[in-house]
Amino acid sequence: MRWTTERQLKRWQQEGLLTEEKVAELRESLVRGESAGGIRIFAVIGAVLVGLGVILFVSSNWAGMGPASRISVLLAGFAVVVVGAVAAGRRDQPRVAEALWLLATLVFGANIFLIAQIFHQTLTSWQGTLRWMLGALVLGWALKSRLQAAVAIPLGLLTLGWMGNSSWLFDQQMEFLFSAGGLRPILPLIGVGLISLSLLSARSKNWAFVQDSCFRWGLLLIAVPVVISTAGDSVAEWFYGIDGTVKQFTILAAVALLLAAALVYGEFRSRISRPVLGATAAFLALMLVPVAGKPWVAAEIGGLHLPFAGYVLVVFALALVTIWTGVRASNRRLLNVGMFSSAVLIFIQYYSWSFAMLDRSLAFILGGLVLLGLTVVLEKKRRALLGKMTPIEGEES
Amino acid sequence: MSNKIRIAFAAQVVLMLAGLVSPLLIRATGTTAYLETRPVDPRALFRGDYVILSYAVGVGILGAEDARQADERGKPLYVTITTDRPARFVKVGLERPDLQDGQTCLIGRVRRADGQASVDFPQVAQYFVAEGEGREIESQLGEDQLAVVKSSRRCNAVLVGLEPR
Repeated sequence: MRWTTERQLKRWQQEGLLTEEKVAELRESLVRGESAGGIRIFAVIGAVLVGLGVILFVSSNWAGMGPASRISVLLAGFAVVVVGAVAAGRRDQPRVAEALWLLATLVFGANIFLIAQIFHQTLTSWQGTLRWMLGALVLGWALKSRLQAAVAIPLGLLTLGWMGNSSWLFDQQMEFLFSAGGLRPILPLIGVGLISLSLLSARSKNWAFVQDSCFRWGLLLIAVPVVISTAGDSVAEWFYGIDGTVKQFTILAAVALLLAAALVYGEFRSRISRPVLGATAAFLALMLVPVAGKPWVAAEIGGLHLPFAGYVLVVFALALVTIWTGVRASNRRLLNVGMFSSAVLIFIQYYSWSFAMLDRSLAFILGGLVLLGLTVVLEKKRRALLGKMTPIEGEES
Repeated sequence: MSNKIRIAFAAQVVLMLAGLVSPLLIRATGTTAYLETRPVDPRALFRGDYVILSYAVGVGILGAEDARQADERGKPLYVTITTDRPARFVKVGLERPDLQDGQTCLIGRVRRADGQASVDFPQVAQYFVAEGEGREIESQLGEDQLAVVKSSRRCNAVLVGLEPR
């Protein structure tokens, strides 16, 4: 990144677009920006480590305390962190203050579950994660902090997953991600809902802080499961197999409402983004429609898995459209996700075919070469496409 | 500190302490029940600093039709028990029961193991202990160890503790 920036600066100077002083000024600004980013990362990691340490220390050493003492200790710990965050803000230490506010939210969440522990309540309580999420959102609203939103989104997913779930054993805490009655088949559509929320929040100054996190999580929830489901017809059948529970339909109805609102009121940076989002949602919803009790993608026509082959082609087209939308909307994340998804799709298809047709060692060697070739081509294309963009800080497609 | 941050701080404190309301209310006003515990397999069920509790009153009480309906509708089961020491099973159903004197109820979920359906009680299934005490408590679980549970009329329960029969 530094190499390309340096090269670009020199090129602009040679072309007479920038003076030597301006180049020096921009270079210094970049260095300042990078060190600030580094400070933020260190501060956040520090906050997370302190939070984990405090939680472990408190929960391991309070056996002798009564409920009232335990609750007092928890409240005192929370208050100390909040006072620290306020003090750091007043002393013009914004990065430290931001990290301490993050720590406050982590301690706040830990306290919710430690209070539940005092009364031997289950640790997979959706009410706990819901309250934690609300607390993070309220603080995020007060501070306009993206870090708080980054905490709130996964908590929202946990809340949806654990709501109405009978799993309470430790090793079943993530069952909702894999069961047909849980979030598994509707994860990509939840991603659509999050992207819709991101587009809507961009319209509000008060809630713009959730825009970036919603967009990132939305893209992740769409891209990862959809790309993985192209690994084979049985994987796609398993992934889109849906029980059709009340919870699933309720979530889907909420996603439909968010999508409709986003299509009407959302802030799109490119004209093509709107139809692309709508078409993606329609395609993902169509995947959930069963035929004879099974996902239609699992059907065979004349002994061939033609629906699955069509599905893979549509997913690949979707990845290419994502790249195109990313370029048109000047959105690096869309571009990167589209390119990475395309590469993984090509690779998955290569292995699916080559293992059946080639000797295994040859398949590995050729696979490695395909991957290396893909990397070179993708990186060149990515740089070329990024060069065409005019990124605007804080805005999404 | 801005007004918005004050509001956020107050909201977080309220949200944090909201978790106290239900268990304290149930402990103060709920009916006490004494449930026979069952030994558990420590290799599979012991996790960290809490013990998984299984209850004798949830075994062999579930008909196939109730189990199927609870699975399909994703609804909880309501198990009515007596307030005897130890508690005895009265009935199980998909609707909240009308309780008689000397009865209380618990919310349960279907659990399938080795092809058999039994009822677990998630609200009172985890018993948190001091570090290192879990295995000892686990080895004592069985008919001689009773779990003291407080339960409300809406069948919400809180685990108060364990004590010898």
